[in-house]
Amino acid sequence: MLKIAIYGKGGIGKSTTASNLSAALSDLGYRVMQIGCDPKSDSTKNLMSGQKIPTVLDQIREKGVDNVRLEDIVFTGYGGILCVEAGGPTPGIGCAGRGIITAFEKLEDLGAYEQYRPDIVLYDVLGDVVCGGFAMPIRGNYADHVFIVTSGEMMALYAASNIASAIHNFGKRGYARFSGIILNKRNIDNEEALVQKAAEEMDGQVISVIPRDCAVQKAEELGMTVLEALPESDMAQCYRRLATKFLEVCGHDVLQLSESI
Amino acid sequence: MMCCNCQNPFENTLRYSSPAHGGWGVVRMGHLLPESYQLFVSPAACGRHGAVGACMQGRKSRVSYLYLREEEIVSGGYEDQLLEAVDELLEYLASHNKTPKVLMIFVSCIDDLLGTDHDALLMQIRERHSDVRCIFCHMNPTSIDTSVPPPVNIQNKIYSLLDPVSSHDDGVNMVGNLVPLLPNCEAYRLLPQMSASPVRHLTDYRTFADWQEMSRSRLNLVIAPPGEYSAMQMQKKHGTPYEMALTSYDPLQVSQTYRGIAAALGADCPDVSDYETRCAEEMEKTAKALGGIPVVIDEDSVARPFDLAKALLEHGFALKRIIAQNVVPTDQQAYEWIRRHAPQIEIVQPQHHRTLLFHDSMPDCLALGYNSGYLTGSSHVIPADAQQGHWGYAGILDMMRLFREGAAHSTDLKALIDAAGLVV
Repeated sequence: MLKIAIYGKGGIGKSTTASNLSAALSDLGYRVMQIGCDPKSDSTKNLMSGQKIPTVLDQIREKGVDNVRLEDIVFTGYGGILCVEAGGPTPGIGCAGRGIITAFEKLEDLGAYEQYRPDIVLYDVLGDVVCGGFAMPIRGNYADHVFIVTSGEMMALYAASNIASAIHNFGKRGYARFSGIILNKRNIDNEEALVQKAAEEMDGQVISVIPRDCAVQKAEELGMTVLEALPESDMAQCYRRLATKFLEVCGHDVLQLSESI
Repeated sequence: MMCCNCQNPFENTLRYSSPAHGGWGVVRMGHLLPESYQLFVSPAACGRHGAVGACMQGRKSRVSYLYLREEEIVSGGYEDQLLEAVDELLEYLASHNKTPKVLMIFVSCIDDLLGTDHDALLMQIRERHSDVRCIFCHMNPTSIDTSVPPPVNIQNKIYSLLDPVSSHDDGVNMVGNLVPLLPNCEAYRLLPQMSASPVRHLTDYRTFADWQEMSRSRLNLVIAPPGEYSAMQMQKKHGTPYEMALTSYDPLQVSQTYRGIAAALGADCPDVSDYETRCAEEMEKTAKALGGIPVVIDEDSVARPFDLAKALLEHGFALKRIIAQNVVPTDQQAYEWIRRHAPQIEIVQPQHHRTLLFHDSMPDCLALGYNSGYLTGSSHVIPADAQQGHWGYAGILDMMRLFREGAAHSTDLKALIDAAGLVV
């Protein structure tokens, strides 16, 4: 099982990238589980025909911590992708980091990974590593690799740098590796060079450049990923290339991972 | 909160805590593990209660506290501070030739919010102190209503330190009970007749190395409900099966338990009819001797108060009231029996905010347990907690002895509570 966490500044396109990546990997024949770790709980929306699914924390609130079953929190979306949303507290109250910890513990308690046996688990994590809760997906038992989505904008790069620092700080503990940057372009001046320079400073590499394209918005308006809504488009091809590169960076080519299924 | 005929006597309301409320607490339970030492990591106010309790119980030489401050919590210095505290503590203990075999680090609910990576910390501690086994435990009252509340969790943490063995012997473990069976318990004669020997319990051992012997047992007998989760985990980890053999005060049920154990061991069950008859006679004799004195029992005195209540009613006792906050699943059947066959029995929640209305309401009763004593105002209180080693027919006979002695002597409840060292 390959476990990946995708981090990046809020609004940078993590969920779009994660959903399209999940869809592309699913099209390649992998059983993928995508876990949204954001109180907004919209990571998997475009894999679920535009519908938001009940979150782990919603179900715990509604049914009680000991009465939640896997079928209450794991939903099957496009291409058989297993969709989970950790959820969060009531806005402005509670602790979102603790929410993520609770959701992760619940998935483990219920044996989600043993039951569904996904080939690839993608954690789509909110913004920055602001506390222990948001660092959970980086840990050894959860993710093996961390990818950061960024644009060339200053604040996005600043957040990326913070995340990379957190991963490096945790290095001695055998946590996940920082495996690269995905540049989600905003078409600012000199963007690729800026991000390339930042990647070098973070001791990382840019593994993929995703152009800005209206196909993404069109697909989202339909409540779908680009792979589902516009499979013949250039953008769909771009996400397929990302999936292949992603497997390569993680040390798994298509054949290797297929053999382990 | 109080019923005779109400639909559901159990409400979740504002809670009241009587001066007699409490039990062993995780410090005392954890100290059952030989050669263990505890480090509590919490804000000062959270640790204070346990610290005072530890002093009162004479346990302060086996427990230390690291009090957290705001700056460590908000700055992320918490993990470093914890590691430094472990170093300092273990160095101090080593310098006094008191290096423990096991260090139990108890974290509080603050830790849950911080998302501390215990595995990573344990790895660092292991590198620095390879001679000490270290585990993280929880002092987390917010888990009280979950399937793994503190009394369940601490027992599981203890048994998680048993190392797997390649083969089992004929021994059986008693798990879940904090106090060993009474020395005169017939189990020590009957179980060997089923080729189950020795009978092992956590309190039999003085050293951690010797305690590892419990891994060798071929069967775990769950004597009290909090032990079931540990037994399940041991089945997964060691392949040791378990049998539910909960304490009961119903002689027929005790016989049934023995038959269940025999089946689990693949042995014939010895004839237990004489034990069963003697217990039934003793219960009836005791009920007569009490002469209709109203009886009140509480959940802190026995693990399954409704099981005891049913047995008392079936043998002629004038049971009036059961003090229980809720019903544990293994007591549900007896509870339903009470509701069907004895709807006049009062069920009072000890932590309900209106419970004070019943204070001193039954001064002439015989009260089993400290909370029963306090809430009824009785002058005849039977001091009982943690099942006092009751199991099997011997447990029933001893309970009858306690009833007769309780009725015969008046008691000083405050002195009893102080001596019990109850911890909320």
